[in-house]
Amino acid sequence: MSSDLSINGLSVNYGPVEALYDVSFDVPRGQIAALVGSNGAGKSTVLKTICGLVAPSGGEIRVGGEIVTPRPGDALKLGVAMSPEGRRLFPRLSVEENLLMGAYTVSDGAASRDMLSRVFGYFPRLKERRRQMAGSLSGGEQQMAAIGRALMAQPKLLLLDEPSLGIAPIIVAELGKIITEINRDLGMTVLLVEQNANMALSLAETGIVLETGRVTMSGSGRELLASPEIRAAYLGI
Amino acid sequence: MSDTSVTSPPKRAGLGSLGFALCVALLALVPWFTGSVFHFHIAIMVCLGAMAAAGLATIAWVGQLSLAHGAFVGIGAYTCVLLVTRLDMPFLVGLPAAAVFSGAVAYIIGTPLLRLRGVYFVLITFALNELFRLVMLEFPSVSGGSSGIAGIPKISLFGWELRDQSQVYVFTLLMLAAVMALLWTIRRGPLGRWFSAVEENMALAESSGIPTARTQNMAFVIGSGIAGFTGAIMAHYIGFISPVTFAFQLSVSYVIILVVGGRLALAGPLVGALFLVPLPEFLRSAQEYQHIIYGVVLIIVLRFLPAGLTALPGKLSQWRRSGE
Repeated sequence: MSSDLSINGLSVNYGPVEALYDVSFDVPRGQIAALVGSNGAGKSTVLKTICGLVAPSGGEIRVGGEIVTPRPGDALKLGVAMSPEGRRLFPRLSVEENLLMGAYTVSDGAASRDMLSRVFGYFPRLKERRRQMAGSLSGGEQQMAAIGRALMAQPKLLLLDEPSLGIAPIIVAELGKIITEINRDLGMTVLLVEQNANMALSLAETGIVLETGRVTMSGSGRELLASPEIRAAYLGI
Repeated sequence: MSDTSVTSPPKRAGLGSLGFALCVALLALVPWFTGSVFHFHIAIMVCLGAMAAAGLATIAWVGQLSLAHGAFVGIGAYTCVLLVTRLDMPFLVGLPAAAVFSGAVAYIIGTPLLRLRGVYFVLITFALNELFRLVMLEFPSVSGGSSGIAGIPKISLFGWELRDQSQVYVFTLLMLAAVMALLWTIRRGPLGRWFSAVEENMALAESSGIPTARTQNMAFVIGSGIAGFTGAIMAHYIGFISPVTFAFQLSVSYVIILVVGGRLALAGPLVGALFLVPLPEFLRSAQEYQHIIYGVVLIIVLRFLPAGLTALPGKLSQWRRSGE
């Protein structure tokens, strides 16, 4: 089985602090994988390392078989796009301009226009607000715009950092549905990083649980959702 | 009520910018109404101030600040004056050469410098301004040293010399319009989008694949080129330049014009120059207080109108509405 993302023995240190230790997992092509864990478990560090923003102290990351080197922009060339956590947009640019910015590295104009209409198809609300300043959108709409912006790079691997953070439950459910659709229609591999384990694991075929920089459990999303440890630690049941 | 309030702001903005354009056009005509040479002089200085500040605005659009802007005006001034006086080139060759040379110097400096993040760029431009002055003093055979270059020929276009102030004013006004048109084009195109992306969210711009350092350098080169362009016109209008003309003080005054006018608004440099350049001229009797007045204006604007005077109409209607 070919893997779009393959992480092997990855370790990352921030100075003397060990953020990740011997992390290994694979995300097969065309799957949705969920990386869950509590605050400070190292989830965002995994994403940053995949994007080449942080240099690993050991191990390697391969995207589509190619090793990712710690240089910004390198991962983008290999087909990785990320919707980051927190400040996800250019607030004073319009929604449409934000989306177009995501296609900076795409030289094929027709493909970009095609993707733009797909993004508006997934998120009709963005189409309604295409001329509005991105900073004036609601939290949920901003998240949609951020996902749309990442899609505009026509990635093979889509990384989503905490898409449910600070968003109303009803929008979280809607986002979940759209992420599944995107994955199905475009055959795009998705790595979802979430504290909202319930949402992430119910979407994902593969789940990986990270605790203080180590992988403690992995399996199919459904298995993990059913496991008593997960239920106790992350779902509060 | 709720319906009209949703639809009216864009219309009002359209009317507002039309009104603004009318006001500017009327103000631009004032010297012809009064016919006073002094008013023509002030109007020319307003245009030159606005032009230089427009260059600084380009740099501000990518989130940077150059404290060497006065020095780039100076580089352009010396370039054009030396070409015209030493090599007998026509002014219309010296003028673009001044812009290109200032831009080239900016490119050489910006390439390594704009890879730095944070305040380092600003700090180094501060030092650069001083460096320019010292270099000019060090090579008197070229620059005339501290006594400067006097008797610079007047602006001449294809052998036609602009003898009186009103002719120079028309020329300067046209040049300012060209610079503003350039800025407008940049803002509307993809370059303007990249500029604001870099200014608003550098990390996200970088992760979208935008070469942030190169984009900032592009803005620095364009802005400094405009500064050099301004310097050439200024030198041939005033007729005398020396290293003191382009001292740190000049850079600071451009920063104040831009901040008071509005750092990110297209009309910011224009409004700032219209307000601040004539101010000391009309307060001649209070000349020793000039810097104090500038300082007070700056503080008031920063406190109440951080987006500059161009944001005043919006603020006023906001205050009026909240007062109702």
